[in-house]
Amino acid sequence: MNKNSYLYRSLRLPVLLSIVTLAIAYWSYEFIEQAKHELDGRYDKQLKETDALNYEVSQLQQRVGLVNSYYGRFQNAYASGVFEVQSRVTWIDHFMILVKRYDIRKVSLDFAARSSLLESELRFLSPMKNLIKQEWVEFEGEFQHEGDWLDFMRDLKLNVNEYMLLKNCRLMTLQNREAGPLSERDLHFSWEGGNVAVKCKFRFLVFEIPEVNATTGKKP
Amino acid sequence: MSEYVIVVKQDVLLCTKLARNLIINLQEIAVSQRALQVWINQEQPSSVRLIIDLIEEELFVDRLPALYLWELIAYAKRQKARRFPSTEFVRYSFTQSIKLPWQTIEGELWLSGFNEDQLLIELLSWFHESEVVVQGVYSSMSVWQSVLQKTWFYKHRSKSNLLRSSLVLLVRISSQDFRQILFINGFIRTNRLIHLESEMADEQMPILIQEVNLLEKFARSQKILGATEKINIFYLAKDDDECQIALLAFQNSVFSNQSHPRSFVSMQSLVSDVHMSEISGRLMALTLGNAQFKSDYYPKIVQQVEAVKKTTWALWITWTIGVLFLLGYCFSYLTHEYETEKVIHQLNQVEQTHQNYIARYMNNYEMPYLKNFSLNNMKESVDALELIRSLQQDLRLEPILVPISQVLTRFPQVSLSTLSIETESEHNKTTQNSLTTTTLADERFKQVIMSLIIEVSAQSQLSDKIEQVNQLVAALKSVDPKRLAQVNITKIPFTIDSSQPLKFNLEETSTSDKIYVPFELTVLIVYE
Repeated sequence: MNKNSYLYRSLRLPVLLSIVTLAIAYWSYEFIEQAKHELDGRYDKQLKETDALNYEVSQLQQRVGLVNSYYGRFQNAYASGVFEVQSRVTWIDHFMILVKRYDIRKVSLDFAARSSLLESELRFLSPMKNLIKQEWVEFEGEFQHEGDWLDFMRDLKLNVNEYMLLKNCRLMTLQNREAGPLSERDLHFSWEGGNVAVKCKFRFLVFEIPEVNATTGKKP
Repeated sequence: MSEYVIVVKQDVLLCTKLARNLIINLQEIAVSQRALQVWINQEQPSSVRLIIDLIEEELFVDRLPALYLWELIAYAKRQKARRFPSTEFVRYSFTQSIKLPWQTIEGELWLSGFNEDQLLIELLSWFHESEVVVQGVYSSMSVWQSVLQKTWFYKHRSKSNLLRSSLVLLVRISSQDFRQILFINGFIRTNRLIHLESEMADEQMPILIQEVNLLEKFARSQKILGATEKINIFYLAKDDDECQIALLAFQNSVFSNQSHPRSFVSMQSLVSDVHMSEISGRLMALTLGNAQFKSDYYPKIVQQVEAVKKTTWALWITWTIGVLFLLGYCFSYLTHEYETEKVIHQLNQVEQTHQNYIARYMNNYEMPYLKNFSLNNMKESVDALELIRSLQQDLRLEPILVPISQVLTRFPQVSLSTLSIETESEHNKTTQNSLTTTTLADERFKQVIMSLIIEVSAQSQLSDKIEQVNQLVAALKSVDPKRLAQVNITKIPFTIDSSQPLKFNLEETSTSDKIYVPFELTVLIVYE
């Protein structure tokens, strides 16, 4: 082997260089992997932080968007007293005013107990069901003229409950039409009773918006 | 870069140092270890190439049986061991061109080498002792073949032309000695030294021709040369006079094919420049220096050198690739670092803006109602308000009742006794309960039920009345906008179908001759 060593002289340089290169490669691998690990760790941390902030900001932006589109309207509605809790007492007072105004006879009001909306009722309102309570009102009375009834319905909405919904209505002439045609007498007012018997069923809606603590409306 | 070529002759070594294909020095030394050692000490060569210019190179021709290529190699090796039992200096080739591996080859196997190669073996061991790398061992015949290719056969630029020729190269190597090299059909036949005592050139020529003649006869007897084929003679002369003499002599000889005179001249000029005794050695050293030949012989030491050379190359290539990879790795890391730093910086900026946003939010987002109500409830209540309002818009009575009353005024004989407007109908109840739509449509008006009375006088015809009811229905249907979708007579006034019972009574107490027949209409309401 020793005698032949001169033959392998040309191998010396590449082998030496390879060893040196390997050493450099190993060292740089160690260094680079370490640095890479640190860098990636930093990057991940930064990414996580930014993601969290991003989420927070998007939540806030959503809130801001909601505020922009709803706050003003809510404020106006609230200021105008729409969301105030109304009670039967005020309704009946207003009813009485209307009864006097339109000279309605044989009035009967039948209030059902205030309740929440059922699952099958008013399905378009189901997302905000817990904000709204309803009361069924059955009204019966005799009007002098059908036109009075139409005005009464309009005033009912304006004065008694802004969010009343008509369920059904039945109008009936009190004259016995089968006995004869509409005569002059039929068009006159009768002090004893009205001319048109009306039976209507309404749904009165009331907003009950729960108040919340100040802290939850605000985010750090 | 300098290289060393040693021409090994029978009794002398021509040691040449070449640089850029020029001979720097050329030394004749005796074939002895001592003399070689002196030269090596003087020149310090790290590697040498040997040209074996021994006069007798033996050639054997064996007829091959039909063999496959892989069998052929084994066969050739066996023949080699038989012909040259002790030597490493042998090469062989086949007359047939290379065929596809699955085809058998049949032809002649030519083996050439040295039987008495003690000199070479000694020489190699001396080099080994002096630690001089022997890069290759070349036969002088292949060098001469290359010389021919570069001179006379240069114009054809084709090796095949030389391989198809039979020729003699006569080289004058000293005043008495001629080198006679014979190629027949591309195969080296002999490499002989002809020693002529005579000084006179014109006396020498016939003798040389005789020699050639002898060779030709041998070639024909060996069936190497065809009956009609002739041998070309190339003559390397000392000067023009001798050249003329040679031309004359060959013209008068039986060999009529001579080489082209002009080719003579170019070669001649080269030869005339150098000392006579060194012509062939010099020429061979230069030719070898010029061309990259493959070693003709592969003794063990040369194999080893070759292997080391290949390994060195492989190592260099591997190292280069490794270094490139390493550089690539480093660069990729640098790029990665740069990109990541950039991204981190950008993320930082984004984070900053987000924090600014949050700070601004905290500063500006002080609104009174938000303290008391949750934003979601605010949104939902406002939405609910709008939904309820739009439903109320649909629940207005006038758009439905006004057209009905307008129609009814056109029919004076028909009067309305009861009107019932409903948000649920028997017809819709069953179908819509299954649906879970959250539209407003469920709560809108569905139908209007009207109880009507038609006045019938005794004089009028019944069919007219029926027609009037039909007209009323048609009029209700044609009201614009088409909110009254469908008008059904739910209780018919007159049954003219005889299969149904009909009760018809005239009251005696009636003051007039008119009767009133009730009927009922159900109007279905739709919204666009």
